[in-house]
Amino acid sequence: MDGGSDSMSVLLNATFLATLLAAGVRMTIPILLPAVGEIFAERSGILNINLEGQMLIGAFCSFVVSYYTHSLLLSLLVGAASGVLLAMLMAVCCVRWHCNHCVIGITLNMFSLGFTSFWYRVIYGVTTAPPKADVSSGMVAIPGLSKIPFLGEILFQQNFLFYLSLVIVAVSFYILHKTQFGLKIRATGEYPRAAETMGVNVSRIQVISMAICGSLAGMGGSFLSLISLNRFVDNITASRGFIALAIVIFGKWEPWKVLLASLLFGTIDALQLRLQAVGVDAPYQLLSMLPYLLTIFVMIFTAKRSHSPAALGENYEREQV
Amino acid sequence: MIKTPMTWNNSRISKTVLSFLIAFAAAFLFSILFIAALGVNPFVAYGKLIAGAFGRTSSIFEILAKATPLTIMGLGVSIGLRGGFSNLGGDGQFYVGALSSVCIGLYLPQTIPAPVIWLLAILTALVSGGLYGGLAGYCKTRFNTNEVIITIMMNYVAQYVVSWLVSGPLQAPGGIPQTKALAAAYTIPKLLSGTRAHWGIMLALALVFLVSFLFKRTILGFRIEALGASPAAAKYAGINSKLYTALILALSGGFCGLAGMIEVYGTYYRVLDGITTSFGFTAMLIALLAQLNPFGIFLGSIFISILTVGANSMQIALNIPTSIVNVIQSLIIIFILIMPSVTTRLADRHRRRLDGRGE
Repeated sequence: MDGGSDSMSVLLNATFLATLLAAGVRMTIPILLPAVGEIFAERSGILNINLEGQMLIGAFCSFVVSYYTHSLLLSLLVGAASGVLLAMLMAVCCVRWHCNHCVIGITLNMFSLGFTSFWYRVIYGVTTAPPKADVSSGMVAIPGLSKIPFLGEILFQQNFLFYLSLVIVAVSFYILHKTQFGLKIRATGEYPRAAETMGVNVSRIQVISMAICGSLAGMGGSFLSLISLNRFVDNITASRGFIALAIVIFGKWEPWKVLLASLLFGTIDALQLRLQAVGVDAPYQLLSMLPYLLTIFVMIFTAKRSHSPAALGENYEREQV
Repeated sequence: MIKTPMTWNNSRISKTVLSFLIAFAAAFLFSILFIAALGVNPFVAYGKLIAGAFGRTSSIFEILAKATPLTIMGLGVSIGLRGGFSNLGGDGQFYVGALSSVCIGLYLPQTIPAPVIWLLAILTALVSGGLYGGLAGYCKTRFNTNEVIITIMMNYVAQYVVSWLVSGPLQAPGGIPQTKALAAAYTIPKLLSGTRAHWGIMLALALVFLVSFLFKRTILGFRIEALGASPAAAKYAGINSKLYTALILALSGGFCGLAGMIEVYGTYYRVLDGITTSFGFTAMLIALLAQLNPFGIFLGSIFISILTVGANSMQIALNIPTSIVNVIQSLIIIFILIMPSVTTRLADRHRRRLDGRGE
């Protein structure tokens, strides 16, 4: 009982709360980026179950580049590019070869898992001291704002990728709702035949949306290997791609709502890690389970009221003349 | 989900065989590139793989041992796919089935004869795995949740709960995260002593025939396929789609739970942390590879097990990571998936070219 009350008092401590929330904001990045990408894919009608694989490939490729170049920016770019490559493979299979989105996505996930662990072992072998991603941490304190007590530490002494994610959320909202391109994406996902009648090139819109998705997923994965863990391990993503899929549903395919949902999940993830570190009177397994349990509950409570794009997961056949 | 053939005629069979051969050849060509990139002669590598898989009696029985749970789970996953649902929760259902059935063998009076224990354990695994899978089905009908996401999340829940139980309340003395071992009398006998294959494979084979019968001869099987082919049409035909959604995932989960029981009673004799290593995903790939044909699932499980056992000795001898198996099997399936579309397109192009010539 004593252990319990001790940890309670630690929990209520303001410093602890600030570090917790700051970590929560940090853990938001690898869920938010892929989730925003998935909005583009799903809004264009492609159910990109391969999100997990795109993150994994991104995490791996960026790690390899960071190992040899020590450049954070270059590694991130390569991570994003590798995500795009895999997304293009998925897009070709769906758009051109008309494969079932779910089935091909699952298969490509398995492929990415095999591919990354194969090459990791080939390049680095099995060692007791795993190689580290030796890059700058990318932490940026925003002058002035970071000095605000409490809030400054949480929001303005963050990884630059967090600021970038916020920009991406805003830009995504703008693209989807205020530009013609965004209208084309939404039309493609809702009613591709009508979109095509209006002169939209459905396949091209879907391929471009998948490219956007792949780059963001690749970047999200890169964050995990470069910054979060500082190294690569097999299956480093641990189904974060699937949590991101759930968050897109939770966030009703809207960038701002997805941002809020990701913040919630990031904080829960940080909370369970902190609680484990503090040594709360609970088995670590039950704490590690929290993000996954939360995903289940969130799905149960929101899936019914959210309406997916009407043509999500369906392959579009052009009418033959 | 996947269009399953209701009938198999000769041209279909020859087309399928052809596309399989092309897919296998293409996938192996790719893997040869992988291996060659390591500076290893691919023929030497595949020689090692085949020697490792068939070189000794024990390795052949090892293949059978590995194929047993994969067959049962592959069948389970295929039932889901036929009904139009991707059950990726195989691992979670496996854990649930393994844990609940091991409790039967450990905590019931040890005077009960083995066949009774086995029967009870099988029932427990079926019911518990079925409930766990059926829960995902219920969520799907009641709350419209995506079964892929839910079943994957439920894998983690099951895995962590089992991990906690075997390192806490159910832990055997000794500090290793595992339960006590079953009494020797309760373990499934080996096919040949000194090897790892056990009589559980007979159950797997029986289930192959059972599932084949289910989809060829019974109303239940017909309704499952009808729902998978077209949910709207199935509804008009008077099939209670909500009930069947839960039922399909429960059946699917029951098989995966049963695989857990067989693995525990036949191979490990206890439940330990990490007893399944992505069996569920492998089973999904096997079901796809077999195009949901039950006999194909058995052959596919044997094939994947050959690769796995062979790849182990390839890794030891030539330092080629075993994860190449994942790469090969997913490549084969990607090629199989795109093959029908590729062949129709080629045929179309050919026809158009003929038309262009005015023939």
